[in-house]
Amino acid sequence: MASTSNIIPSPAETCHIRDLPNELLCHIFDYLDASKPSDFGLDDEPTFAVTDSNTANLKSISQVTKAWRSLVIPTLFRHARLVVSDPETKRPLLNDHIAPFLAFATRNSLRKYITSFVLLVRDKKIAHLTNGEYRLSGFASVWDTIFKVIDPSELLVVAHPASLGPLAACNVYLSDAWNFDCPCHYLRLRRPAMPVGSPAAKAANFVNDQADFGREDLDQMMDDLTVDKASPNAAGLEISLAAGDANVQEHDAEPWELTRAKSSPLFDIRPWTSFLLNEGSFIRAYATYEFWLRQAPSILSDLVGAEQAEHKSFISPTISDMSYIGIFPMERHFRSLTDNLPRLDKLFVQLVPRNDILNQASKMVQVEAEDLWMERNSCYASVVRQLFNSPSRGNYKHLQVFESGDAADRDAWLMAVEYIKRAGKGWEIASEGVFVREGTKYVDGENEEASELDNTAFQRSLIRWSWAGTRRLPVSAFTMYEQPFGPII
Amino acid sequence: MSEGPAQTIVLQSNDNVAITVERKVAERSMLIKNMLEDLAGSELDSAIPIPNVNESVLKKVIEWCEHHKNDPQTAADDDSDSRKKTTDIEEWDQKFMQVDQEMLFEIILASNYLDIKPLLDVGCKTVANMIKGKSPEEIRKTFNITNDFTPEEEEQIRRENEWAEDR
Repeated sequence: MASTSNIIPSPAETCHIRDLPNELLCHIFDYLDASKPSDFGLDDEPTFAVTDSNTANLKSISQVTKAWRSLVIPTLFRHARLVVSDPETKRPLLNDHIAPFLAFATRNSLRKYITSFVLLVRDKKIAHLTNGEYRLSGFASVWDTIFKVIDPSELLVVAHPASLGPLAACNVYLSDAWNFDCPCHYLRLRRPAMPVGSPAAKAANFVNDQADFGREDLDQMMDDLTVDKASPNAAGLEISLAAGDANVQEHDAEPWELTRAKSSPLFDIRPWTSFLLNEGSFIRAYATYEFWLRQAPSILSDLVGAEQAEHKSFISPTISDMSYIGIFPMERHFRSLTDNLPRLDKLFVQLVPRNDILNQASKMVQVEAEDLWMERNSCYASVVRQLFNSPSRGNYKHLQVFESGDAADRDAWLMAVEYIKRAGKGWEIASEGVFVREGTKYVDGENEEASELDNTAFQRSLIRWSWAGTRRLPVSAFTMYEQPFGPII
Repeated sequence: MSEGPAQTIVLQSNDNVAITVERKVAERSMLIKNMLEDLAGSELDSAIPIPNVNESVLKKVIEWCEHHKNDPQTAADDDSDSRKKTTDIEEWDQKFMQVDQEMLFEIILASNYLDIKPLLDVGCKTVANMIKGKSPEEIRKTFNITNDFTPEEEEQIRRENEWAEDR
C-alpha cells in the first residue's frame, strides 16, 4: 500500500474504507454535496445545459458500488430533472418519457427527497397531434401525473415557447418565431418547502384538486383525454412526425382565434409563491424590417391575460414575487406585462444581458445597437410611468418593490436624483441606483416622481425602487427624455 | 473543577499501552471530557481504557489534540452548514493527515468513537478530497474497492442518473 513518513506499523487487521459505518460515509459524501447547476445563470440567456456541470461528484459516488449508491441516492436526487428529447424518428408520447422516471422515483421513495424538479423539453412539437392540429389543453394530466409522484418545492421548465405554451396552457403566437433566435425559455415556480404530510401540504393537494381544467375543455378534448384517464402511461399526447420537418410556424392562428384555457394547471397545481420567466434574446428580430411589430413567441401575453380585457391572469394569487428576464424585448411585448401587471408585492426586471452578447458579432448581424437601447428605454418608461402614476392604477397599488437587474442609465438617474432632491419628501436615495420610501409609517406620501399629476393618497404601494447601480449607456438616450416620463429612468 | 496545573491522566489503548496525557488535551474528546466530569474529581488513579483504539492511532489522535488544545470548543449544535460545505483544511491538519489510508480510516473511526468532531471533520474532508473530481473507476482504484455492478446495471445506473442534475 501507499506509504508515507508517518507510517506506523498497522495491527493485524487493516482498516479499509468499507469499515466506515454508513453514517460516516454519508458525512464524507455530504462534503461533496454541491449546489445544483440550475441555481446559477437563470438570469442569463436560457440554455438546455442549465442542469449540466463538468463536475458531478455525487454521480461518480453513485456508480462506485451498490452500497454507496443506496447511500447517496437521497442526496443526488434531491435535484431531479427530466429531459424530453427531440425525437429523430418517432415521437413517443410525452408520458413515455415521464413514466420511467416516475417509476424510478416511486421505487426509491424519492417523493420525500426531491425538492426541485427541472423539465427540459427539447421537443418543440409536443402539442402537435397526428392530424397536424395544434392542441393547447390536455397537459393538465401531465402535471397531475408528475405531482402525484413527486412534490418539489421548486419547478423549472426549460422549453421552446412552442412547447412551453401548452405546458403552461398559454396560447403562443408562432408565426414570427423564426425571427427570434432563442432555443428555449425558462419558467420557474417556487414555494416555501414544507414537510410532506403536513396540513399545509394536504391543503396544497386540495388546491390542486380544485384547479382542474374547465369542463368544456375536458369535453372538447374528450377523445384524447379518455386515453389519458385510462392509463397514466398515456397521459401524454398522441403525436407523430406527420408534419415531417415542418417548423413551428405551421401553427399560425392569431392569438384571438384560439380558445383560451380557463386556467393554467401548471400554476394551480401547487400554491407557488414566486415566479420567474426568462425569455432569452430578442436581438435577432431587430435585424428584420419593422422589428417593433414582430411578435415574439411567448407565453407572456396570454399568461397575464393581455389579449382581451376580460381575460384574467393565469398567475395564481399566491404568487407575490415575479421576475421577468429578457434580452432587449420589444416594448410592445414588454407592455403586455406592464399594462397587465399581476397582483404582486415584488417585481424584478432585467432587460439587458449580463454576458457579452453585444460583442458577439454573430448575434449582432444587421442589428443597430441603438435600436436595442431605445427599445430598452421604452420598456422601462412603460413600467416607470405605471409605478409613479398617482394614484396607482390596477395592481400597481399593491406592488411594493420594483427591482431592476440592469444598471440605471446614469444620465437619467442623475436627473431623477436632482428631481427628488428638489421635489422633496417621500423618497430618499439609499444607494447608487436605489430609492426607498422614507420611514416605514409613511402611508400617504405623494408620488414625488409624478407629482405634477396629483398628490392624492398613495397607500401601501411602492416603497423600494432599485437598480443594479448606475452606468452610462453605450448610446445616448437623450431622445427619450422628451417623453413625459422618460427622464426618470 | 481543575485542581491545579499540569493535571495529567492516563489513557490505555486496546493493546494495553498506557499513555500519559495532559487533561486539557484529552478533553478535546467529548467522550473523555464527559467521563471525567461524571467522575467529578473522585479517584483518577487508574488508567482510562480506550477499548476501540490501538496505541499507534491513539498517539496520533493525541498529537492532534495536543496541537489543537487551545482551540475554542465547538458549540454543541455544530451540525450547522458552517461545519459542512467546505472541504478546505488548514495547513497543519493537511500535513497531519498525510498518512496511509489505513491510518486515515483508523483516525476517523477513533475520532468518531472518542467524539472529537473537529478531527472527524478533518478526516472526512480528507477522504472527500480524495474522491473529488474522480471517475467511479478512479475512486475504486484509489480505495481498492471492488465493483459489484454488472455491465447491465452500470448501463441502467447511467440512465437513471440522467434524472438528476449534475452534482
